[in-house]
Amino acid sequence: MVVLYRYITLLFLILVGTSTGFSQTDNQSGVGRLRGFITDTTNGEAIVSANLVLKGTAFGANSDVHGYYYIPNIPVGEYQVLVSFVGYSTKVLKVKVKPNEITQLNVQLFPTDIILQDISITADNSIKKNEQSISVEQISIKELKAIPMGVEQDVLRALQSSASVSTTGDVSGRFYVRGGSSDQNMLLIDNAVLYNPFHALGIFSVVDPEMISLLEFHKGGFTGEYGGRLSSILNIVTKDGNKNRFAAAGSASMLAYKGSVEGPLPNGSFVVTGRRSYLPQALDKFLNGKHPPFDFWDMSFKLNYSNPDIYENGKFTVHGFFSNDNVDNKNPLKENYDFQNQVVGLNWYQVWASPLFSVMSFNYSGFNGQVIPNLSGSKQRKNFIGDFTSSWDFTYMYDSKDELVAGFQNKILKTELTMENLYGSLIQEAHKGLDMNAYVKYRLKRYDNFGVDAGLRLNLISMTNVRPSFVEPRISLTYVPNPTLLIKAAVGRYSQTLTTLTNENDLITIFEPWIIIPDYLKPSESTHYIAGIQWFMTENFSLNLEGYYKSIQNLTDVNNEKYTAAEKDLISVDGEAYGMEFTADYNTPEFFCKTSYTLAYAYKIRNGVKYAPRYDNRHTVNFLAGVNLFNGWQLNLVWQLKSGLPFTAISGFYDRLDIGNFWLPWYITQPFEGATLYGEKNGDRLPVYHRMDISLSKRFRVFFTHVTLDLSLVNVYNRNNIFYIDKNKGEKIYMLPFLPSAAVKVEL
Amino acid sequence: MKKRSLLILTLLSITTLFFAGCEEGFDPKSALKDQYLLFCVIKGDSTAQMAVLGKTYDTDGYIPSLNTVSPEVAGAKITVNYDKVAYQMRDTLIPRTDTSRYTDPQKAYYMKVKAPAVLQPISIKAELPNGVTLSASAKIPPRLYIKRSAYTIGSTSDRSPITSYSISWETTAGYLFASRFRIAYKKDGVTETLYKDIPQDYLLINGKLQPVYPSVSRMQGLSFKYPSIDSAMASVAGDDAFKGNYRILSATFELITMDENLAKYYSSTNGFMDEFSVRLDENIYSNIVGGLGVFGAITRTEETILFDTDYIQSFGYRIR
Repeated sequence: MVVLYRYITLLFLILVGTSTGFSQTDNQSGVGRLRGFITDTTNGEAIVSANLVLKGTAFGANSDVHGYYYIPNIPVGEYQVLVSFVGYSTKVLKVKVKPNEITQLNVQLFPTDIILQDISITADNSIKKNEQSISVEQISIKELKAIPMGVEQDVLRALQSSASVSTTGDVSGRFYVRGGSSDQNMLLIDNAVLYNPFHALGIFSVVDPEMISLLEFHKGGFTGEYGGRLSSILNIVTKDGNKNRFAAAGSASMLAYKGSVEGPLPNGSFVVTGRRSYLPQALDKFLNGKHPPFDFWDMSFKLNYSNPDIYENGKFTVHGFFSNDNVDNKNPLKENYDFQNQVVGLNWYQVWASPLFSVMSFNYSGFNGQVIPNLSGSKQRKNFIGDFTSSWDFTYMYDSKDELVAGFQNKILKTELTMENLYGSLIQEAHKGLDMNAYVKYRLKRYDNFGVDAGLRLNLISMTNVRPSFVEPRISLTYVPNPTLLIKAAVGRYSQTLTTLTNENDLITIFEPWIIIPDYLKPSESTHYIAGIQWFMTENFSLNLEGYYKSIQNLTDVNNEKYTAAEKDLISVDGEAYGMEFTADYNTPEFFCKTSYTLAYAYKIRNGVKYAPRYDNRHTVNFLAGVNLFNGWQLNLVWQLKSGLPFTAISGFYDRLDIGNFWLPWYITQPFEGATLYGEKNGDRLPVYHRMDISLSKRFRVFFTHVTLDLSLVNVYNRNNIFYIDKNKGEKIYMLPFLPSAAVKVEL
Repeated sequence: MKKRSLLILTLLSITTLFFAGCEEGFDPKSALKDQYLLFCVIKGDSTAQMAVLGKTYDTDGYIPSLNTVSPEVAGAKITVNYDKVAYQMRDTLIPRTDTSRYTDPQKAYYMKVKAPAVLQPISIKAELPNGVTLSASAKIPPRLYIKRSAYTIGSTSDRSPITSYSISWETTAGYLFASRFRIAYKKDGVTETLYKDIPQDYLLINGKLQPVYPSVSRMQGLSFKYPSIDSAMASVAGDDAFKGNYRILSATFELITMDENLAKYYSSTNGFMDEFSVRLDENIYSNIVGGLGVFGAITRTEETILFDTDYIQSFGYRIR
């Protein structure tokens, strides 16, 4: 394996070398380069998408997720540098660009006090020329907090207001992106995969918003650095911790209390966050009046070390995330639940002397989950995942502004599953696998109005024996015909060798075990075709239209007719999804508004029958708005309108034999019980769904602390949105009713 | 002024939407699908067999228990084939034990003929006057050899260090098992044999000790804690001070083996994942060609296990 790594590294260096030959537009003595990091002056956190321009020239750049920027090919001389970002005071600096040198300029921006500016989307409203940002949403923690919470602030629930996301109901935090199933989404925390991102049996996310710096949501057409999932990547970048002073915060919602501590360390910083449930009754309305004794906690930490005497322009981070969910009914007639996540990792970020940037990561991600049935009659289930992933990514920036990006990833994965299915058949799967991937891509950024990001992701060694290797070509294009218009397109192949054993008929499921796709099935594959247009009509107003088509092959689905252990657990189905998303954004310091309309079609083809899965939301309107009221009070509102989800209608009833009593004499027939006969699968639609949530918050100073009050109203006008029909009671079960909640946060 | 307008607009929107909060008319039903159903469980140790033919129906609501018109169908020709002979079932009416839904007698079909042998293939065919035909086939499951951890059930001194009395059997087929373990006894003045069920264990549930009896399962073995057997034995006389009025005969273990069709049907109608999961559109297993229902077979295996005389007498009961 080491040998293979060496070959890949050598290949990268050769590529850099050869492409340098034709890409370097200037090695002449009249030009130089500028690079550095843009950070928040109060805490030292990286500022993503900050804008840096050399005044009076066309030279400029935007900072990446690490706050890093790079401007090549600048004529030698002295310049005024303007650095700006929404929510921060613009800074003007002087810099001298020297011939054939890289000038380092680190910039710290000071945040302004206008609260609403803080909740603006991180991207500014000027077109970033040649940026291939198709189907990517960057959501800051501040925007996340603007979305009204339902009992507890939640990362995954916040995503549900995105135009590309659909759900099967507002009870669960599970989400579906552009017609893909929920296991086609990958959640990364600082490059480590999180396999079970839910607390409280799927109601909300384990990821505490307090630990997040940035969310990057890739909704499709993602380029070569990401792989292993067919639909989406949610990349969570956690906070580095305050580099300037010690700070602490504590907060309590109606469900959980939490705290965080952060501060500087010699040559670095740290941050520790923790959360624990204390009032599980707050979730009763999510569970139709059931009262499970939820008990959960999660904690995260991150340490940063950056010593210029040891590694100039290098940074090491060690991070960890742990969560535990437990339901102990203390009753042998009821089942108990136990779920744990463990994530630890080391990342090394390095800006080299040449314009090369690299990130090396070593991560372990583990998940243990079990349902302990006791004497409840429920099914025993146990799942273990151990994932050790190492990766090394390089970005080489040419003087022409073009970039060569390459990397490799090595994943050693072990999955174990023991479970009884609904029919009492035992499922036992234990797999170990090695997955080795390499990718290389070239980002053509030299032209002001045209950009290309083209590359390949190579699955060199696959976890399944059925398909030992796979090539995934990916390309995305941008064209800027005029300064306010951006035309984008992307095409890519994607594959997935891991799947969850989840039955699509489970409207609510508390257990989604992961397994490597068994060798009797081919790994899932998908092709994305995406095209879009973005129009920046004014400084504050933009429109975005994206259309997509996604074909899916070898999708795994649970075998609903597995009645004995000998029958296969999974079957293969195909699918397709297509649609269009229209978004309008309006952003001012006092008011923001984001409106979207989505027309989407999702289908599965099983045994030759084409049907819409339960998450096929045909029409969706999302409306998100926020306004600064008076005296610092801030009002946010979310309204969702969706056409009805598919459901299988009742096509009659019958009396079925109940063979529970075997001890009756022959002349007494067994009792008969009424049963429901279902019609065409998902052939009908539920009524229209709509819901409005409102939050009101204020941040004020009390002595030496900052106190934030947050009042939230879910389903303000108590809309009765039908969730499903309980076939036993014949009752309509509704989604979340009107639900008020409050939270308070104190920051030191 | 601008902010005030926005606030007023928001409040107006919410007020308007309050009227949209109610649920509009929604019917989760589609047109009735006419189908016939056949249910027949052949008992491998019986000369008498029964079948019920039914039909789908509709109700005003969404639960079938609202239906009060019996859906059974009479007048069909039902034949059961085994041993190269076609046995025709006859129409009959059976009084219902539960009349909460239907008050009229149950329409059924029966036959009293030679019992089928174990491992014998069997088939059924139901021909309705309207030309609809339902059919299915199955195989009688075998009697199983029962193994036990001790030949008799003895007193405490004989048990140590084993804490349970175990019973097991073996098969490689996908059968499902139901069982019961009972003490057979006689009471003076009562002619018939009486039985007392033995639980596997007693568990403290909600502060109260409650018995746990064997459930239907694919497991090929059971164990009964000795204190549970002691407790069941003590409860034969209960509070009756005259223990000598009771004569303990033996313990009987009965095992019902469901063939693969019935096993699948039972599993699909009785399984549930857990308290919180909600599964929609569940498939109920059917092996009936031309309709729904199930045709299967069961075989009963019975094992008699004796108690040590000292053990019986330790409770004050008689052995003869």
